[in-house]
Amino acid sequence: VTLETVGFALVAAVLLASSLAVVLTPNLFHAVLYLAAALVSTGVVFLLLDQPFLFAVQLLLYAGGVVTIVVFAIMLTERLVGQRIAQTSRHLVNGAVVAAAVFVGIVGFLVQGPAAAPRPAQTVDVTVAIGHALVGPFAVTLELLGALLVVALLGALYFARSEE
Amino acid sequence: MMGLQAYLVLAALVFAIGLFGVLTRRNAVGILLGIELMLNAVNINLVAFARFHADLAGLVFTLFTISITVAEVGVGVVHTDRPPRPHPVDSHVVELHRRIKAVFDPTGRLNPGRDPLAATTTEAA
Repeated sequence: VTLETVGFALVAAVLLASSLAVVLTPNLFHAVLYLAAALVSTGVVFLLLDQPFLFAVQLLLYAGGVVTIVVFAIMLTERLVGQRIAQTSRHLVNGAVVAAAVFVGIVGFLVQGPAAAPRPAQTVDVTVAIGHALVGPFAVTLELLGALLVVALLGALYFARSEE
Repeated sequence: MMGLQAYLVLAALVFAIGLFGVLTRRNAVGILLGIELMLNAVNINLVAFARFHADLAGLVFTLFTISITVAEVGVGVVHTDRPPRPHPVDSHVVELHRRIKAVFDPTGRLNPGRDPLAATTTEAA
């Protein structure tokens, strides 16, 4: 048993437990906090895959940005509505059956596939390589992403403007 | 060493949990959290394939998915908070819709006892 196996088992346990808590807890605010834990442990999975740059992006954008936005939305809404928002679920059995079916389907597909090749050694500095790729072969995609962010910003401005 | 398949099974589990959340939650924020979990599972897949095939494209795609998701959450949260306000409609247009409904449904069988057009904000022409 190597150190990597132990780390993977630990991170997988935390990730799965917090993901389950996100979809099962009755408190919406707690669900968001569990989502933050799930996102951080996903970042640790990236670390196990030798991607420290993606780990940083995951922490900054996801755990930092998304969780802050959602927490703000919930707190503001609760203050406006003046009551705690309960998180109700319905059709628990049906949902569980569909989700389990999808999981079994994916795993069945994985089992049929060829045995994965062993992990190749990491030779280049990935962060440098990502930087070169972003301004090289993926430059147009990067520009498109910039356009998308501008559109999202304009949409947010449209919704945030005051009522005349 | 952990194989590729261990990461793929982990991602499939997270994806299934997120799908369960999307199917069972009843409010928009809860569904949004489930979608976040599903997107996260896809990111794990992308990074795992990129690492095991020594291919850079998966990593760059992960960066793009993360950025697009953040934009999506911003817009989605604004929507759940404040639905788009209805445009004021010309009163002649409302009258036209009433006449069309009268032609197809003269006895008022559709939406009995309710007047959906009454909620429309009108403005004088």
